[in-house]
Amino acid sequence: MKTNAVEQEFLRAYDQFADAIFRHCVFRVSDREKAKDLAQGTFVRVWDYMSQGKEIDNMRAFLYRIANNLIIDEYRKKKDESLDRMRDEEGFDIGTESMRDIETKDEHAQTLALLECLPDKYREALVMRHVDGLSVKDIAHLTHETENVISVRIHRAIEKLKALSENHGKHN
Amino acid sequence: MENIIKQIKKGAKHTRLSVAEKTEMKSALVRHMKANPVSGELFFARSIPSPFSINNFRNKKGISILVIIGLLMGGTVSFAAENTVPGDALFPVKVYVNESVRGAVAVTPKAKADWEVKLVERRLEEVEKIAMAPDAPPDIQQVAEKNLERYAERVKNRIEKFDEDEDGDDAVETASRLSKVYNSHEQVLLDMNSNVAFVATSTSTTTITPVVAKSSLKNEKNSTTLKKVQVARGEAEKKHKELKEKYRKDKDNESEKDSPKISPKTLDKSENAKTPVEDNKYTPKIERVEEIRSTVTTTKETAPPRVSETPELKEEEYQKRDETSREDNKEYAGDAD
Repeated sequence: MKTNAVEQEFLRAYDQFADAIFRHCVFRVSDREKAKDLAQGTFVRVWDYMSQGKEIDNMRAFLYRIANNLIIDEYRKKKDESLDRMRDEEGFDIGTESMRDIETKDEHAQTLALLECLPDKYREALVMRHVDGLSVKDIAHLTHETENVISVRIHRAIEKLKALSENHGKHN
Repeated sequence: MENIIKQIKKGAKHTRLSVAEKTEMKSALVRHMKANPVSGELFFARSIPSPFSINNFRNKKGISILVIIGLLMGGTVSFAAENTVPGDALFPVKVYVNESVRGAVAVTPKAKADWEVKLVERRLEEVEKIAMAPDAPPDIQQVAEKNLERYAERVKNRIEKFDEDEDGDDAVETASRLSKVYNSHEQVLLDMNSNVAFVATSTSTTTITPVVAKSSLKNEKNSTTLKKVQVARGEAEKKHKELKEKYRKDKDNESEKDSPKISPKTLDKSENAKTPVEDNKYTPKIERVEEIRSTVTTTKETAPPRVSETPELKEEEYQKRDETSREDNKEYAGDAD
Protein backbone atom coordinates (compact mmCIF):
# COMPACT_ATOMS: atom_id res chain seq x y z
CA MET A 1 0.00 0.00 0.00
CA LYS A 2 1.23 3.41 -0.90
CA THR A 3 0.39 4.98 2.46
CA ASN A 4 2.86 2.72 4.10
CA ALA A 5 5.60 3.79 1.75
CA VAL A 6 5.03 7.43 2.60
CA GLU A 7 4.88 6.76 6.28
CA GLN A 8 8.01 4.67 6.14
CA GLU A 9 9.86 7.34 4.29
CA PHE A 10 8.81 9.97 6.78
CA LEU A 11 9.73 7.97 9.84
CA ARG A 12 13.03 7.04 8.30
CA ALA A 13 13.75 10.70 7.76
CA TYR A 14 12.81 11.40 11.35
CA ASP A 15 15.18 8.79 12.71
CA GLN A 16 17.94 10.07 10.54
CA PHE A 17 17.57 13.81 11.03
CA ALA A 18 15.75 14.46 14.28
CA ASP A 19 18.91 15.08 16.26
CA ALA A 20 20.47 17.29 13.65
CA ILE A 21 17.40 19.48 13.38
CA PHE A 22 17.04 19.68 17.13
CA ARG A 23 20.66 20.64 17.51
CA HIS A 24 20.31 23.30 14.89
CA CYS A 25 17.35 24.79 16.70
CA VAL A 26 19.16 24.74 20.02
CA PHE A 27 22.02 26.77 18.69
CA ARG A 28 19.69 29.13 16.94
CA VAL A 29 17.35 29.98 19.78
CA SER A 30 19.55 29.08 22.74
CA ASP A 31 16.71 27.38 24.50
CA ARG A 32 16.37 23.64 24.74
CA GLU A 33 12.67 23.41 25.26
CA LYS A 34 11.91 25.86 22.55
CA ALA A 35 14.25 23.93 20.27
CA LYS A 36 12.27 20.76 20.85
CA ASP A 37 9.07 22.50 19.89
CA LEU A 38 10.61 23.88 16.78
CA ALA A 39 12.06 20.53 15.74
CA GLN A 40 8.75 18.82 16.20
CA GLY A 41 7.03 21.60 14.31
CA THR A 42 9.45 21.11 11.48
CA PHE A 43 8.62 17.45 11.14
CA VAL A 44 4.92 18.12 11.41
CA ARG A 45 5.15 20.47 8.48
CA VAL A 46 7.16 17.96 6.49
CA TRP A 47 4.49 15.36 7.11
CA ASP A 48 1.77 17.73 6.00
CA TYR A 49 3.69 18.24 2.78
CA MET A 50 4.26 14.55 2.18
CA SER A 51 0.70 13.58 2.99
CA GLN A 52 -0.41 15.62 0.03
CA GLY A 53 1.50 13.26 -2.19
CA LYS A 54 4.28 15.70 -2.98
CA GLU A 55 7.71 14.31 -3.55
CA ILE A 56 10.78 15.50 -1.71
CA ASP A 57 14.02 15.10 -3.61
CA ASN A 58 16.45 16.23 -0.98
CA MET A 59 15.07 15.57 2.48
CA ARG A 60 17.96 17.11 4.34
CA ALA A 61 17.79 20.41 2.51
CA PHE A 62 14.03 20.45 2.83
CA LEU A 63 14.20 19.92 6.57
CA TYR A 64 16.70 22.70 7.07
CA ARG A 65 14.62 25.06 5.02
CA ILE A 66 11.48 24.38 7.02
CA ALA A 67 13.37 24.62 10.30
CA ASN A 68 14.96 27.87 9.27
CA ASN A 69 11.61 29.35 8.35
CA LEU A 70 10.16 28.37 11.68
CA ILE A 71 13.13 29.83 13.51
CA ILE A 72 12.82 33.10 11.65
CA ASP A 73 9.16 33.20 12.61
CA GLU A 74 10.28 32.64 16.15
CA TYR A 75 12.71 35.55 15.98
CA ARG A 76 9.97 37.83 14.80
CA LYS A 77 7.76 36.76 17.65
CA LYS A 78 10.53 37.34 20.10
CA LYS A 79 11.28 40.70 18.65
CA ASP A 80 7.74 41.84 18.94
CA GLU A 81 7.50 40.74 22.50
CA SER A 82 10.77 41.89 23.93
CA LEU A 83 12.37 44.75 22.07
CA ASP A 84 14.00 46.04 25.18
CA ARG A 85 15.71 42.80 25.87
CA MET A 86 17.14 42.70 22.38
CA ARG A 87 18.49 46.19 22.66
CA ASP A 88 20.40 45.36 25.77
CA GLU A 89 21.95 42.24 24.32
CA GLU A 90 23.19 43.83 21.19
CA GLY A 91 24.79 46.68 23.01
CA PHE A 92 28.44 47.03 23.83
CA ASP A 93 27.85 45.95 27.37
CA ILE A 94 26.40 42.56 27.79
CA GLY A 95 23.25 42.90 29.79
CA THR A 96 23.35 41.95 33.44
CA GLU A 97 20.86 39.25 32.80
CA SER A 98 23.13 37.49 30.31
CA MET A 99 26.09 37.76 32.62
CA ARG A 100 24.27 36.02 35.30
CA ASP A 101 23.41 33.27 32.90
CA ILE A 102 26.97 32.82 31.86
CA GLU A 103 28.23 32.65 35.39
CA THR A 104 25.86 29.95 36.48
CA LYS A 105 25.87 27.68 33.48
CA ASP A 106 28.71 25.62 32.01
CA GLU A 107 30.78 26.36 28.94
CA HIS A 108 28.13 25.10 26.60
CA ALA A 109 25.62 27.47 28.04
CA GLN A 110 28.21 30.18 27.68
CA THR A 111 28.45 29.43 24.02
CA LEU A 112 24.73 29.51 23.62
CA ALA A 113 24.51 32.78 25.45
CA LEU A 114 27.18 34.29 23.27
CA LEU A 115 25.43 33.08 20.20
CA GLU A 116 22.23 34.66 21.27
CA CYS A 117 23.98 37.99 21.24
CA LEU A 118 24.72 37.75 17.57
CA PRO A 119 22.50 39.37 15.00
CA ASP A 120 20.11 36.82 13.53
CA LYS A 121 21.66 36.58 10.13
CA TYR A 122 25.17 36.14 11.45
CA ARG A 123 24.08 33.45 13.80
CA GLU A 124 22.15 31.69 11.08
CA ALA A 125 25.18 31.44 8.85
CA LEU A 126 27.55 30.50 11.64
CA VAL A 127 25.37 27.76 13.07
CA MET A 128 24.67 26.28 9.69
CA ARG A 129 28.35 26.24 8.93
CA HIS A 130 29.89 25.07 12.17
CA VAL A 131 27.10 23.25 13.93
CA ASP A 132 25.35 21.61 11.00
CA GLY A 133 28.38 21.30 8.79
CA LEU A 134 26.65 22.65 5.73
CA SER A 135 28.80 23.98 2.93
CA VAL A 136 28.72 27.67 2.13
CA LYS A 137 27.07 26.74 -1.16
CA ASP A 138 24.29 24.86 0.56
CA ILE A 139 23.74 27.65 3.01
CA ALA A 140 23.52 30.16 0.20
CA HIS A 141 20.94 27.93 -1.46
CA LEU A 142 18.87 27.58 1.66
CA THR A 143 18.83 31.23 2.54
CA HIS A 144 18.61 32.59 -0.99
CA GLU A 145 21.76 34.60 -0.65
CA THR A 146 25.01 34.59 -2.54
CA GLU A 147 27.93 32.55 -1.29
CA ASN A 148 29.88 35.73 -0.79
CA VAL A 149 27.31 37.16 1.54
CA ILE A 150 27.32 33.96 3.56
CA SER A 151 31.09 33.90 3.86
CA VAL A 152 31.10 37.49 5.03
CA ARG A 153 28.43 36.81 7.61
CA ILE A 154 30.28 33.83 8.99
CA HIS A 155 33.43 35.81 9.29
CA ARG A 156 31.75 38.72 10.97
CA ALA A 157 29.93 36.37 13.32
CA ILE A 158 33.20 34.93 14.50
CA GLU A 159 34.72 38.36 14.92
CA LYS A 160 31.75 39.50 16.94
CA LEU A 161 31.88 36.42 19.13
CA LYS A 162 35.51 37.03 19.85
CA ALA A 163 34.80 40.59 20.79
CA LEU A 164 31.90 39.57 22.95
CA SER A 165 33.82 36.91 24.80
CA GLU A 166 36.66 39.35 25.48
CA ASN A 167 34.21 41.81 26.81
CA HIS A 168 32.76 39.16 28.99
CA GLY A 169 36.21 38.46 30.31
CA LYS A 170 36.69 42.15 31.02
CA HIS A 171 33.50 42.29 32.93
CA ASN A 172 34.57 39.46 35.14
CA MET B 1 39.18 32.71 16.63
CA GLU B 2 39.53 28.97 16.43
CA ASN B 3 38.71 28.62 20.09
CA ILE B 4 35.27 29.95 19.56
CA ILE B 5 34.66 27.57 16.72
CA LYS B 6 36.09 24.66 18.64
CA GLN B 7 33.87 25.58 21.50
CA ILE B 8 30.85 25.66 19.29
CA LYS B 9 31.65 22.36 17.66
CA LYS B 10 32.27 20.75 20.99
CA GLY B 11 28.96 21.94 22.25
CA ALA B 12 27.33 20.74 19.10
CA LYS B 13 28.66 17.25 19.53
CA HIS B 14 27.07 16.96 22.93
CA THR B 15 23.74 18.33 21.91
CA ARG B 16 21.16 15.79 21.02
CA LEU B 17 17.78 14.51 21.98
CA SER B 18 17.73 11.98 24.73
CA VAL B 19 16.28 8.63 23.84
CA ALA B 20 13.21 9.42 25.82
CA GLU B 21 12.79 12.77 24.22
CA LYS B 22 13.17 11.27 20.79
CA THR B 23 10.58 8.59 21.29
CA GLU B 24 8.24 11.05 22.85
CA MET B 25 8.49 13.32 19.85
CA LYS B 26 8.04 10.37 17.52
CA SER B 27 4.80 9.33 19.20
CA ALA B 28 3.53 12.85 18.92
CA LEU B 29 4.34 12.83 15.27
CA VAL B 30 2.67 9.48 14.69
CA ARG B 31 -0.45 10.84 16.33
CA HIS B 32 -0.31 13.72 13.94
CA MET B 33 0.19 11.35 11.01
CA LYS B 34 -2.86 9.36 11.94
CA ALA B 35 -4.87 12.50 12.25
CA ASN B 36 -3.74 13.65 8.83
CA PRO B 37 -3.41 10.61 6.62
CA VAL B 38 -2.07 10.65 3.11
CA SER B 39 -4.72 11.93 0.72
CA GLY B 40 -5.99 9.22 -1.60
CA GLU B 41 -5.91 10.96 -4.99
CA LEU B 42 -2.21 11.26 -5.30
CA PHE B 43 -1.25 7.69 -4.64
CA PHE B 44 -0.06 7.03 -8.12
CA ALA B 45 2.23 10.02 -8.02
CA ARG B 46 4.14 8.69 -5.08
CA SER B 47 6.85 6.22 -5.65
CA ILE B 48 10.22 5.16 -4.43
CA PRO B 49 12.61 8.02 -5.01
CA SER B 50 13.69 7.29 -8.51
CA PRO B 51 17.34 6.58 -9.09
CA PHE B 52 16.93 8.39 -12.40
CA SER B 53 15.68 11.68 -11.06
CA ILE B 54 17.90 14.52 -12.06
CA ASN B 55 17.23 16.25 -8.78
CA ASN B 56 18.97 13.61 -6.74
CA PHE B 57 22.50 14.75 -6.60
CA ARG B 58 24.21 11.45 -6.10
CA ASN B 59 22.53 9.21 -8.64
CA LYS B 60 25.21 9.07 -11.27
CA LYS B 61 24.44 5.43 -11.81
CA GLY B 62 20.82 6.00 -12.71
CA ILE B 63 21.49 8.88 -15.02
CA SER B 64 24.37 7.17 -16.78
CA ILE B 65 22.22 4.14 -17.47
CA LEU B 66 19.60 6.40 -19.01
CA VAL B 67 22.22 8.09 -21.14
CA ILE B 68 23.57 4.81 -22.42
CA ILE B 69 20.11 3.50 -23.26
CA GLY B 70 19.31 6.77 -24.97
CA LEU B 71 22.43 6.56 -27.10
CA LEU B 72 21.71 2.98 -28.07
CA MET B 73 18.12 3.73 -28.95
CA GLY B 74 19.13 6.83 -30.81
CA GLY B 75 21.58 4.76 -32.78
CA THR B 76 18.88 2.29 -33.74
CA VAL B 77 16.52 5.04 -34.80
CA SER B 78 19.19 6.71 -36.87
CA PHE B 79 20.01 3.44 -38.54
CA ALA B 80 16.39 2.80 -39.34
CA ALA B 81 16.02 6.29 -40.68
CA GLU B 82 18.66 5.80 -43.31
CA ASN B 83 16.33 4.18 -45.81
CA THR B 84 13.45 6.60 -45.48
CA VAL B 85 12.09 8.91 -48.13
CA PRO B 86 10.10 12.12 -47.82
CA GLY B 87 6.77 11.23 -46.34
CA ASP B 88 8.08 8.62 -43.96
CA ALA B 89 7.88 9.27 -40.28
CA LEU B 90 11.60 8.92 -39.76
CA PHE B 91 12.61 11.02 -42.73
CA PRO B 92 13.19 14.12 -40.58
CA VAL B 93 15.54 12.04 -38.46
CA LYS B 94 17.47 11.15 -41.56
CA VAL B 95 17.85 14.73 -42.68
CA TYR B 96 18.16 16.64 -39.48
CA VAL B 97 19.91 14.16 -37.24
CA ASN B 98 21.92 11.72 -39.32
CA GLU B 99 22.95 14.20 -41.95
CA SER B 100 23.72 16.93 -39.46
CA VAL B 101 25.92 14.68 -37.43
CA ARG B 102 27.78 13.35 -40.43
CA GLY B 103 28.01 16.79 -41.91
CA ALA B 104 29.43 18.22 -38.73
CA VAL B 105 32.55 16.17 -39.21
CA ALA B 106 33.34 18.05 -42.42
CA VAL B 107 35.56 20.92 -41.46
CA THR B 108 37.25 22.20 -44.57
CA PRO B 109 35.26 23.73 -47.42
CA LYS B 110 36.42 20.87 -49.61
CA ALA B 111 35.13 18.29 -47.15
CA LYS B 112 31.88 20.18 -46.92
CA ALA B 113 31.59 20.24 -50.68
CA ASP B 114 32.17 16.51 -50.88
CA TRP B 115 29.56 15.92 -48.24
CA GLU B 116 27.10 18.10 -50.08
CA VAL B 117 27.61 16.10 -53.25
CA LYS B 118 26.92 13.03 -51.17
CA LEU B 119 23.73 14.69 -50.00
CA VAL B 120 22.69 15.28 -53.58
CA GLU B 121 23.22 11.60 -54.16
CA ARG B 122 21.00 10.78 -51.23
CA ARG B 123 18.29 13.02 -52.60
CA LEU B 124 18.61 11.29 -55.94
CA GLU B 125 18.22 7.94 -54.28
CA GLU B 126 15.08 9.16 -52.61
CA VAL B 127 13.70 10.32 -55.91
CA GLU B 128 14.42 6.93 -57.36
CA LYS B 129 12.82 5.09 -54.49
CA ILE B 130 9.71 7.16 -54.79
CA ALA B 131 9.59 6.72 -58.54
CA MET B 132 9.78 2.98 -58.05
CA ALA B 133 6.70 2.96 -55.86
CA PRO B 134 3.88 3.87 -58.20
CA ASP B 135 1.36 4.00 -55.41
CA ALA B 136 3.05 6.91 -53.71
CA PRO B 137 1.11 10.16 -53.61
CA PRO B 138 2.31 12.59 -56.30
CA ASP B 139 3.16 15.43 -53.95
CA ILE B 140 5.83 13.33 -52.35
CA GLN B 141 7.56 13.05 -55.66
CA GLN B 142 7.40 16.83 -55.93
CA VAL B 143 8.90 17.20 -52.50
CA ALA B 144 11.70 14.81 -53.30
CA GLU B 145 12.48 16.62 -56.51
CA LYS B 146 12.43 19.95 -54.81
CA ASN B 147 14.81 18.67 -52.18
CA LEU B 148 17.06 17.45 -54.92
CA GLU B 149 17.08 20.84 -56.56
CA ARG B 150 17.80 22.57 -53.30
CA TYR B 151 20.77 20.43 -52.47
CA ALA B 152 22.03 20.62 -56.01
CA GLU B 153 21.91 24.41 -55.68
CA ARG B 154 24.07 24.23 -52.62
CA VAL B 155 26.68 22.22 -54.45
CA LYS B 156 26.58 24.60 -57.36
CA ASN B 157 27.12 27.50 -55.00
CA ARG B 158 30.11 25.75 -53.52
CA ILE B 159 31.57 25.27 -56.93
CA GLU B 160 31.02 28.93 -57.68
CA LYS B 161 32.71 29.87 -54.46
CA PHE B 162 35.70 27.72 -55.25
CA ASP B 163 35.84 29.31 -58.64
CA GLU B 164 35.72 32.81 -57.19
CA ASP B 165 38.49 31.95 -54.80
CA GLU B 166 40.51 30.63 -57.71
CA ASP B 167 40.55 27.28 -56.02
CA GLY B 168 40.78 25.31 -59.20
CA ASP B 169 41.39 21.90 -57.74
CA ASP B 170 38.39 21.89 -55.50
CA ALA B 171 36.14 23.43 -58.10
CA VAL B 172 37.00 20.92 -60.74
CA GLU B 173 36.87 17.97 -58.44
CA THR B 174 33.54 18.90 -56.93
CA ALA B 175 32.09 19.52 -60.36
CA SER B 176 33.37 16.18 -61.53
CA ARG B 177 31.90 14.39 -58.55
CA LEU B 178 28.59 16.03 -59.14
CA SER B 179 28.44 14.97 -62.78
CA LYS B 180 29.47 11.50 -61.77
CA VAL B 181 26.60 11.28 -59.36
CA TYR B 182 24.12 12.53 -61.90
CA ASN B 183 25.42 10.13 -64.47
CA SER B 184 25.04 7.01 -62.43
CA HIS B 185 21.59 7.89 -61.24
CA GLU B 186 20.36 9.05 -64.60
CA GLN B 187 21.11 5.56 -65.80
CA VAL B 188 18.85 4.09 -63.17
CA LEU B 189 16.04 6.39 -64.01
CA LEU B 190 16.51 5.67 -67.70
CA ASP B 191 16.16 1.99 -67.09
CA MET B 192 13.11 2.56 -65.00
CA ASN B 193 11.47 4.51 -67.68
CA SER B 194 12.06 2.01 -70.36
CA ASN B 195 9.36 -0.38 -71.34
CA VAL B 196 11.22 -3.33 -70.01
CA ALA B 197 11.04 -4.85 -66.59
CA PHE B 198 14.27 -4.25 -64.80
CA VAL B 199 16.32 -4.94 -61.75
CA ALA B 200 17.67 -1.90 -60.04
CA THR B 201 20.22 -1.78 -57.32
CA SER B 202 19.96 0.73 -54.60
CA THR B 203 23.11 2.74 -54.28
CA SER B 204 22.97 3.27 -50.58
CA THR B 205 26.34 3.43 -49.01
CA THR B 206 26.28 0.50 -46.69
CA THR B 207 24.49 -2.17 -48.63
CA ILE B 208 23.54 -2.87 -52.19
CA THR B 209 19.99 -4.13 -52.14
CA PRO B 210 18.58 -5.38 -55.40
CA VAL B 211 15.08 -4.16 -56.00
CA VAL B 212 13.07 -6.09 -58.49
CA ALA B 213 10.33 -4.26 -60.29
CA LYS B 214 7.51 -6.38 -61.50
CA SER B 215 6.65 -4.31 -64.49
CA SER B 216 7.75 -1.20 -66.20
CA LEU B 217 7.36 1.96 -64.24
CA LYS B 218 7.18 4.21 -67.17
CA ASN B 219 4.67 6.93 -66.63
CA GLU B 220 4.39 10.63 -67.05
CA LYS B 221 5.63 11.52 -63.64
CA ASN B 222 8.73 9.49 -63.95
CA SER B 223 9.44 10.83 -67.41
CA THR B 224 9.47 14.39 -66.12
CA THR B 225 11.72 13.34 -63.29
CA LEU B 226 14.05 11.68 -65.69
CA LYS B 227 14.12 14.73 -67.91
CA LYS B 228 14.92 16.99 -64.99
CA VAL B 229 17.78 14.79 -63.94
CA GLN B 230 19.06 14.66 -67.47
CA VAL B 231 19.03 18.42 -67.69
CA ALA B 232 20.81 18.69 -64.38
CA ARG B 233 23.37 16.21 -65.48
CA GLY B 234 23.96 18.10 -68.66
CA GLU B 235 24.49 21.31 -66.74
CA ALA B 236 26.82 19.66 -64.30
CA GLU B 237 28.94 18.19 -67.03
CA LYS B 238 29.07 21.46 -68.85
CA LYS B 239 30.22 23.25 -65.74
CA HIS B 240 32.79 20.61 -65.10
CA LYS B 241 34.20 21.00 -68.55
CA GLU B 242 34.32 24.77 -68.25
CA LEU B 243 36.20 24.62 -65.03
CA LYS B 244 38.60 22.08 -66.32
CA GLU B 245 39.37 24.31 -69.27
CA LYS B 246 39.84 27.29 -67.06
CA TYR B 247 42.21 25.68 -64.66
CA ARG B 248 44.04 23.59 -67.14
CA LYS B 249 45.92 26.67 -68.23
CA ASP B 250 47.11 27.24 -64.71
CA LYS B 251 48.47 23.77 -64.55
CA ASP B 252 50.65 24.33 -67.55
CA ASN B 253 52.71 26.72 -65.53
CA GLU B 254 53.16 24.48 -62.57
CA SER B 255 55.35 21.51 -63.08
CA GLU B 256 55.09 20.35 -59.55
CA LYS B 257 51.38 19.95 -59.42
CA ASP B 258 50.12 17.38 -57.01
CA SER B 259 48.15 14.29 -57.88
CA PRO B 260 46.00 14.75 -60.93
CA LYS B 261 42.28 15.07 -61.00
CA ILE B 262 40.08 12.06 -61.22
CA SER B 263 38.07 12.35 -64.38
CA PRO B 264 34.35 11.63 -64.49
CA LYS B 265 33.69 8.00 -63.92
CA THR B 266 31.03 7.33 -66.45
CA LEU B 267 31.62 8.69 -69.88
CA ASP B 268 29.07 8.63 -72.61
CA LYS B 269 29.70 5.72 -74.83
CA SER B 270 29.68 8.07 -77.75
CA GLU B 271 32.57 10.02 -76.36
CA ASN B 272 34.63 6.87 -76.08
CA ALA B 273 34.12 6.16 -79.74
CA LYS B 274 35.52 9.55 -80.66
CA THR B 275 38.94 8.70 -79.32
CA PRO B 276 41.52 9.66 -81.94
CA VAL B 277 43.69 6.83 -83.08
CA GLU B 278 46.91 8.66 -82.34
CA ASP B 279 46.14 8.60 -78.66
CA ASN B 280 46.07 4.87 -78.56
CA LYS B 281 49.74 4.87 -78.00
CA TYR B 282 49.29 6.52 -74.68
CA THR B 283 45.74 5.60 -73.95
CA PRO B 284 45.14 2.21 -72.50
CA LYS B 285 42.01 0.27 -73.25
CA ILE B 286 38.83 1.00 -71.35
CA GLU B 287 39.13 -2.03 -69.15
CA ARG B 288 42.57 -1.11 -68.09
CA VAL B 289 41.31 2.36 -67.39
CA GLU B 290 39.20 0.96 -64.57
CA GLU B 291 42.17 -0.88 -63.19
CA ILE B 292 44.36 2.15 -63.32
CA ARG B 293 41.69 4.27 -61.81
CA SER B 294 41.49 2.04 -58.81
CA THR B 295 45.22 2.16 -58.39
CA VAL B 296 45.10 5.91 -58.84
CA THR B 297 42.87 6.31 -55.84
CA THR B 298 44.94 4.11 -53.62
CA THR B 299 48.37 5.18 -54.69
CA LYS B 300 47.64 8.84 -54.93
CA GLU B 301 50.29 9.64 -52.41
CA THR B 302 53.06 8.02 -54.36
CA ALA B 303 51.98 9.45 -57.69
CA PRO B 304 53.38 13.00 -57.49
CA PRO B 305 57.05 12.13 -57.58
CA ARG B 306 56.57 10.14 -60.73
CA VAL B 307 54.65 12.88 -62.43
CA SER B 308 57.08 15.65 -61.68
CA GLU B 309 59.97 13.71 -63.03
CA THR B 310 58.70 13.96 -66.57
CA PRO B 311 57.80 17.57 -67.25
CA GLU B 312 58.65 17.24 -70.91
CA LEU B 313 56.17 14.50 -71.52
CA LYS B 314 53.53 16.55 -69.79
CA GLU B 315 53.87 19.44 -72.18
CA GLU B 316 53.20 17.19 -75.09
CA GLU B 317 50.20 15.63 -73.48
CA TYR B 318 48.62 18.88 -72.51
CA GLN B 319 48.19 19.75 -76.12
CA LYS B 320 46.20 16.64 -76.59
CA ARG B 321 43.91 17.35 -73.69
CA ASP B 322 41.32 18.96 -75.82
CA GLU B 323 40.65 15.76 -77.63
CA THR B 324 39.71 13.49 -74.83
CA SER B 325 39.09 13.79 -71.16
CA ARG B 326 41.35 11.03 -70.04
CA GLU B 327 44.48 13.07 -69.57
CA ASP B 328 45.08 11.63 -66.16
CA ASN B 329 45.43 8.14 -67.45
CA LYS B 330 47.77 9.30 -70.13
CA GLU B 331 50.26 10.54 -67.63
CA TYR B 332 50.35 7.24 -65.94
CA ALA B 333 50.36 5.47 -69.24
CA GLY B 334 53.28 7.62 -70.25
CA ASP B 335 55.19 6.58 -67.18
CA ALA B 336 54.20 3.02 -67.59
CA ASP B 337 55.76 2.95 -70.97
